[in-house]
Amino acid sequence: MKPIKILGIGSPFGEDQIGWKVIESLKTKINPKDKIYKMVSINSFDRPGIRLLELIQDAEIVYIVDAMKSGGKLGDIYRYENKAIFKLQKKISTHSIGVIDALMLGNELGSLPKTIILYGIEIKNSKFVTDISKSLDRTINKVTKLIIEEISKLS
Amino acid sequence: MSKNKNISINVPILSRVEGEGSLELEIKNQDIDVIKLKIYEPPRFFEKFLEGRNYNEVLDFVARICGICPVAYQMSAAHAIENAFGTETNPWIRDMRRAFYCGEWLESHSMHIHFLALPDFLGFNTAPDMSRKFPNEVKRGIRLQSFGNELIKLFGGRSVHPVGACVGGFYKAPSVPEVNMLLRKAKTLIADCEDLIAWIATLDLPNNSHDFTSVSLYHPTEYPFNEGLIVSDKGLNISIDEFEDYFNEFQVPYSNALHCTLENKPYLVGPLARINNCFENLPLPIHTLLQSLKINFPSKNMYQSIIARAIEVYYCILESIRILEQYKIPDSPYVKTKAKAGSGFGCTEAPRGMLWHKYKLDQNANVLMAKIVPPTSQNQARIEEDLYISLKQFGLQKKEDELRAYSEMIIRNYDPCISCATHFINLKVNRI
Repeated sequence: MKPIKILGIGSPFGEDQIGWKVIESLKTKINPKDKIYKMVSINSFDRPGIRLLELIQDAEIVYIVDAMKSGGKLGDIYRYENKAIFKLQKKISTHSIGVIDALMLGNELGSLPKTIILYGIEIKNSKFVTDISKSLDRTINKVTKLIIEEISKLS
Repeated sequence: MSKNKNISINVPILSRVEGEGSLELEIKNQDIDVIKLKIYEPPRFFEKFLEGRNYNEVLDFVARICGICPVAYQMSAAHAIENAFGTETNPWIRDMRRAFYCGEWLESHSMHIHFLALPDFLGFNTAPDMSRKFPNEVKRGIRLQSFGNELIKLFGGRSVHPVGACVGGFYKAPSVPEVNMLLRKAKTLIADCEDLIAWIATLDLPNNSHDFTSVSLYHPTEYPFNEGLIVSDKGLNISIDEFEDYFNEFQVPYSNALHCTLENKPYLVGPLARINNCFENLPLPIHTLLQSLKINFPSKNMYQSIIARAIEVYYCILESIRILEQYKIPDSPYVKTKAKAGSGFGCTEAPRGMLWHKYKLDQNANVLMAKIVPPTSQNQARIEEDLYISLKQFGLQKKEDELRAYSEMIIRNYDPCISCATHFINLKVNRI
């Protein structure tokens, strides 16, 4: 089996860190003794842009967690898989220049892994502050749980 | 055509990791009344962050100034601190630093050419749109960019914010098998580079030629990365420690970033300035290729910056092959430094142009003062001057959308750190 990669995309600006927070949470909650996690790499990246294609190229299944602004409620969770990602309006992700565009580019070039799952989390504040809304704690836990459940089913 | 005589165009500020930028343009009675490029650069804060830090922390700090050109910040800082200590490195370190730098130019230039600039010239809104029609060309761009990242990783341990460089050299020498693997890959990319230049030469680039001053490092025997005199095509020829005698950094009220002028005039730094000043130091295969394609330098057409970048991509492949072919494991990947109080200067060529550093260190080699002059700050006044001249050439009577798109293209020719932002500028037009 090829590796599974879980990437949290973010920036240091306010709630835009949410992808990183989910990764931090995942790292503390996975069971390292579980066989499946020998095949899983979990990392955070600061707006990788086109480099995202390099980061995911060796994987068979990729999970991406990113902040989104789509007009929903703070903390809303969205899940998109493969082609559904490319139907997203550009710029819906706060890193649209990277995540959506890079994945669309990879799709056009036929260089994407077999399965890509994008977890988007609705945020409101991406200003130059380091704080993240406490109300997002529950969302972080929920996304963590959802990803762990999905991966457990793969083993 | 706009019927109003007075037009105010405001491009709102967008935040990006490499900087925040906006453009304000006011046209009154068919003349440009106000033109302001507003850039907010993080290096100003970094200079303060560095105060009180020990010299051996500086490289890790300055690498964070820019996600695209951390090598440049590390190299200018390393040279400045070595200059303060009186440290002499050796030919192995000198060569490996050049190869390290090749990686960064390759990564940065390939990114700009394929994903920021080319969609402009080929009439696409985005790189994914462009890749539908030009998949092989885009794949080639990704290959070149990826190789650049691999080269940075070879010396830096990782491609983003690398950690392998230190004052005096590198913490670790790459293994011979690692080097040979990249050498084999580099050789396969020569054809890609030649094809890239030939392809770009076929583009019908606009021509906004006008006079400006090109400033870069110049080395008598090599294309410049880490060493040389600061020269211009108008006769400047000074050592890097004389920078402050000729260049003046100053605050403008509308921007957090300092402007920088050469004897009170704007000037250009970056790939086109380097090629204009150092053309003869490019290797023979590049000269013969350019001759066959009828590409000539020097050039005063900023649109030819994309060609300059493609030429430097080719140069980096050839230079990395030259260096990696001679690679041997050294006795030590660094020279020992003797930390002491003093001042030092470092000036190297970042992908976007000359990057000047100055440090003052106390008796414990802690930073008392740091001054960093990045290329995007240096190009700000030149971009404003270019916009002023080129928009008039273009025709101020054109529609606001056309003026906006044209302004963005002009700005992108400089590959400022706000390139990403300028690709997605939301324009608000206020008619007075």
